Amino acid sequence: MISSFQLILREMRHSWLNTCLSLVALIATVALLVGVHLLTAAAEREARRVSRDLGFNLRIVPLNTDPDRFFLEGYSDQTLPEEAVRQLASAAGTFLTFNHLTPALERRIRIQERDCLLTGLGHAVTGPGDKKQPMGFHIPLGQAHVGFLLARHFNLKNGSSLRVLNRDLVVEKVLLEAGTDEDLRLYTSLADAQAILELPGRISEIKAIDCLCLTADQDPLTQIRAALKKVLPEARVLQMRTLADARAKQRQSSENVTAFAVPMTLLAAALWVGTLSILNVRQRRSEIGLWRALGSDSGFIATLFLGKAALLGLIGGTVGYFVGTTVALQFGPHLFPVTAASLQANFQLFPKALLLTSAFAALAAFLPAMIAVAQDPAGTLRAD
Amino acid sequence: MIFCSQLTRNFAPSAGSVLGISQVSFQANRGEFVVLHGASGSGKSTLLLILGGMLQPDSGTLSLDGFNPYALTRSDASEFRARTVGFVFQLFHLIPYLDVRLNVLAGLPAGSPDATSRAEELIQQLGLLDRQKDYPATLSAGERQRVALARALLKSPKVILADEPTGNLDPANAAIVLGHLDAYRKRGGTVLLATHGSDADRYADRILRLDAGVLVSSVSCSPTPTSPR
Repeated sequence: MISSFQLILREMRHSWLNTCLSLVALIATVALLVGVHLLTAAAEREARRVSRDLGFNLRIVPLNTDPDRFFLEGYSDQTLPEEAVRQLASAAGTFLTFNHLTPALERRIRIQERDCLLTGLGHAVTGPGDKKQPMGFHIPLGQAHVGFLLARHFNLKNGSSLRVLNRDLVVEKVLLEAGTDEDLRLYTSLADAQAILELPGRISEIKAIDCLCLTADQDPLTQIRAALKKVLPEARVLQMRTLADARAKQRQSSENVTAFAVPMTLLAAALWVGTLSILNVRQRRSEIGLWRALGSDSGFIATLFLGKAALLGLIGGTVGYFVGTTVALQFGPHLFPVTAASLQANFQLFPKALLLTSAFAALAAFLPAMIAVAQDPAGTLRAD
Repeated sequence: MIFCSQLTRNFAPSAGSVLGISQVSFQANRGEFVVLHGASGSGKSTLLLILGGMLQPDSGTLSLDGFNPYALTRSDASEFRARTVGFVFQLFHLIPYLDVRLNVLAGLPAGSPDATSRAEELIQQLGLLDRQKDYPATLSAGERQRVALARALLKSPKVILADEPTGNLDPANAAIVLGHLDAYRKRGGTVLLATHGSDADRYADRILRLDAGVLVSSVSCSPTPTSPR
């Protein structure tokens, strides 16, 4: 005469301490996982931005580049056809190793008796279906980004005009002082650089990011070189090991934390909820015996315990989602100030949180429920 | 109504002091009030649980309302128990999170005709009208046992198996409970009541005595006419 759902609700209210402790575990777990999910995404965005600021860690240059000269000059004096980027991008498996393929043409030039480095950057190519923003600058045709020392020398400001050999450019941005050769660099679009240097359709290198994210001791360079040799045998790859290592370590560290924290959190929550369910079953041994005596079957007994767990999961999932989201939105911007604006609630997580938390709680309570079903009612009902 | 022959149930030594029963045979007819005497640990509860389909015997045969509950599937046995047997326990076994009214209705399938009105009638007859919204923790022992009795009677079972139903009650409440069991018997129900006291003897048609799991005597008697208070 009273439904199983009403029985579960009344029992939850009666065993309020057990209910509260189970809910605390589920809410904390869901909040933690939702928070970690949002903050990990924020951390990745932040790391990508920081990596972008660090620069590309792979430089794919013509095979006949003289390494001595390359390191003395800072660029290759040889060229590849611009098609090499598309050739590399279209090869199977490229984006397992490389990403953000950016064609570049670099040369030392003189502007009004002043030496500077000209860097023309083409459109970056990312992996198919990759939603990541391309790294590096995108500089429109006819515009330029000017290094700090260069801008000071020519007294350039945003919007100023600058004639470079045979071409007029508008300064789109004056870069902040970097303390590196960046301060003497003039960035233009690839097409402008090719026109200025009279090297149409040519590039001096492809800048890229290494996707393997292996540290130096894991010898990523051999794998990277082997991958390139198959696709672009006329080129060689140089790895900026310090940058690559820093990026790999940062990423590995983040992944290691997640890979450790998530299963540990789930295991702890499962043990917690499972233990509370066992306690609940033990407390209700007499009740289970009575339901049996009244003619209730195993399905009904299992429903009382699994239904309670699923209901706790629904409540825990709902509250945990909002707590996790609120905490992430509250503290995330302080942790990741560079990408703070992109930290937003992920509403697609909500139904997943509800479904998975209910299933998780029911799974954690499965063994206790089976103990309840298998319990010998005679043991608790016998008076003597 | 109840026919059992050579019922035996042994417990493993790890079960401690709980004794089983050995070679118990007897018969109880429709409308009969059978009192089962025996000291604590003599096997009274074990026998009642076996008769109620709750504890499978090691050997022997049992027929309850023409069926052997242990020959049925688990779900059929549950349904059979719900329809045929009403239990009343010494420790009441009320559900702590349900009020009196819902405890009386507990175990009744949803949609049972007239269940609510019959429950109210029983609650009134058993003097629980002003306690029907209260929870078991707030009830006296006598009130709890009356709730348990109402729960057993509501299903109109063919047999009521009562295990020390007056063991925790004062004489007045014991008389109320026994009076209602007697009234149920007069309506055609069969009562098998286990006790180590003699309160129920005056209602008995027959008194059985168990000693260390063995049925040592079966005495027919004439019940003293009474009416429930």
